[in-house]
Parts: sequence; C-alpha cells; structure tokens
Amino acid sequence: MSVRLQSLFLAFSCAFISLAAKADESQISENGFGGVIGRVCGIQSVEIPPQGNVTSVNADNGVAIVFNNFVNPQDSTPLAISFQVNFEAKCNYAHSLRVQSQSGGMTLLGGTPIANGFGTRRDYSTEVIWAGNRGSYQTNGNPQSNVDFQVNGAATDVLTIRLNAPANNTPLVSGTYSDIIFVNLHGAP
Amino acid sequence: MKKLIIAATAVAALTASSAFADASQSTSVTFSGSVDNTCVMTTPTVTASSNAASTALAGAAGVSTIAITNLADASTAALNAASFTLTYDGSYCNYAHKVGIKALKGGLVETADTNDVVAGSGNFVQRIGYDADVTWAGASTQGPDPATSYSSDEGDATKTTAINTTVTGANRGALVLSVAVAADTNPVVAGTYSETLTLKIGATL
Repeated sequence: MSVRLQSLFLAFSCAFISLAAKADESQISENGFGGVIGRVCGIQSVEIPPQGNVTSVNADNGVAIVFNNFVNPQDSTPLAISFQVNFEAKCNYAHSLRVQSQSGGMTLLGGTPIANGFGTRRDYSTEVIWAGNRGSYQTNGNPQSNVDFQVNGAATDVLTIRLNAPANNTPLVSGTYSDIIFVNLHGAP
Repeated sequence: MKKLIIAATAVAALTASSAFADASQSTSVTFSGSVDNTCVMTTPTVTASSNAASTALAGAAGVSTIAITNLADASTAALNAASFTLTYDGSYCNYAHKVGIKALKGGLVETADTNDVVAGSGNFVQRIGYDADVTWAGASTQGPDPATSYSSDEGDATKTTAINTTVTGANRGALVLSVAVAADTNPVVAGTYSETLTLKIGATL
C-alpha cells in the first residue's frame, strides 16, 4: 500500500469510530436484582431441660419422653409428673400455632378394661408459650384438647411446652399409658 | 447482570432450605409411663363374729389372729359353734389375677398333741372341722372345709391344697374371709387347737 492509500484508510477508520461514538449523548442501564422468599416456618432444635424422673429420646419427627416414676410402685397410685420441652422455631410471616393432644389424656394402650375403682386415663394440663402468647389446656378425654395462637407477624422464639399432672389416690390399671402432643406452625387462616 | 440476579436467587433458595423448611412445620411430643402389676391387701377388720375375737389384725405379709372365746362348753367339753368374718376393705389388684386360699393343717388340730384317746373309747372330737369361704370380685369361692373327725387328731391333708380362682380383670373392693365352726355334741379332747389360713391376691398361691 502506498503512503497515500494508507492515509486514506486511516482517515476512513477514524471517521467510522467517530460516527459510532456519537450515536447517543449518554446511556443508561437499569439493572434489577432480587429473589422471592416464600412463607416458611421452621421447627428446629429441641431442648429438654434436665428434669428428674424423665427419660427422653429423639424420635421420628419429634421427641419421645418416658416418665420413669409414673406411679407409686406400692399401690399404683399416680405420682406427680411434669416435663418441659423447648423448640427453637421461626415463622417469617403472620401464622398460627396449634398444640393438640391426640387422645385427650394419657390413655391405656391396648384398650380400656372394665375396672371399677381404678383409673384408666391420666389427665394432665399443658401450658404453651410462643411469641409472647401463653395458653393452656386441661385434658378430660376429649381428643381435641388444644391451644391455638394467631400470631400477626413473623417470629423467632423458643416454643415452650410444659406438662403437669398432680398425684392422686386412685390407682391405675396395670399397663402403659401414652399420649402424643402435636405441634403445628402453619399459615394464619 | 443476569448472573447477579441468578446468584441472589440462589442465596435466597439456600436460606430457605436451611433455616426455614416449609410454609408449615409440625413436630410431636410422645410421652408415656408404665404401671406395673400391683396388688394391695389392706389391714382387715372383724366385720362379724360369734364366739370369736381378734387379738391381732394385719394386712399384707402380716398375721391376723382370731381367738375362739369358748371353743368348748366349760361343763361338758362339747364343741361350741363359732364364726368370724374378716374384711379386707379397699384391697385391689390392678390386673387380671388370682385369689387364693390355703389351709396349713386341714382342720383345727391340737397344737401340742398331748392327749390321745384310748382304744375302745366313745367318740371324742379329735380334729375340729370348719368351713372357710372367700368372697372377692363379686364371687364367692369355697375354701377349705375339713370335716370334724372323731378318729384322727391329724389334719386332713386333702384340704391343704391351695384353692385359686381366676379374676379376669382388675378389681378393687372388699376381700372377705368367712370361717364357721359347727357345734358338735361330742366332747373335744383337751388341748389348744389351731389352724392357719393363708389368703393371697395376685399371683397363684
């Protein structure tokens, strides 16, 4: 390429670049970013404070507690029993908590024999504390015994459940007595 | 910029899966306690008696003692009637169980066996019979009922076998032992006569 041709090419190239730079006086780019957090609740670690006469084990989807001294071994009359269990829990939206007894008392597994003068169910009271709410229920054989809380916002707290049953003088029929307390954090109605 | 958006979304998803599991979550607390097979036998009271009185009353693992006031007529030595009822009120077993009664000797026999009857003598009462019954759980059980004997001063061994009755469930109430000695016009050989009846609720006697 001759020197003249080279000059022409450079001049053309420069003109092209200049033309491109002048396409707009300014440019704006708007860049949005973010994500979606769904309504979620979590019941996380469980803590069972040290307490006498209770054995606890982690069970599928919960915890299992055994009262070691359920009755007086001499006459099978119920001894006072109690336990407390704490769950670390969270809900990131207005929600509800329901704590409900399955059987409405500790009932004799395997059916209820006819036995006058004996107890065949061990009633108890349950106290529930969650997100500034406190409630309780007393079992009386009604399987729907429960505590319901409506919580109008998100909460991170310790969900505490306390169970108590006093001693009494009515002996219990031989066997194993059991109940299940269901704990459910869910959307507010 | 898309990468940033994707990254932000990924972080949100990770947070959701680790700290929060779902829109609702449930757990449960199962709790239980056990009641062993248990029986309680209370201290009895004498709820009826004739020609008999208690000198000691005891419940489980104890010994109650009933003394027959006038076992024989003071003038003729003829056997007098006597009876007593021991009631163990409020006793119970909290499971299907047995009620049992057992005689130690099979009759009221002379404890020291010091006086015998000579051959060819007329009748003497040498062993005093009685009838014992147990009432429990709405049913009466025939207990030992050795006969009065004029020929033997030994207990009736056939009446010393334990008698057990099955109770099909828990029962709480009065355990009642009734004992009756029938009168006999024949004289009784001198001596001190005794018998021991063992009562049991729970396992087989």
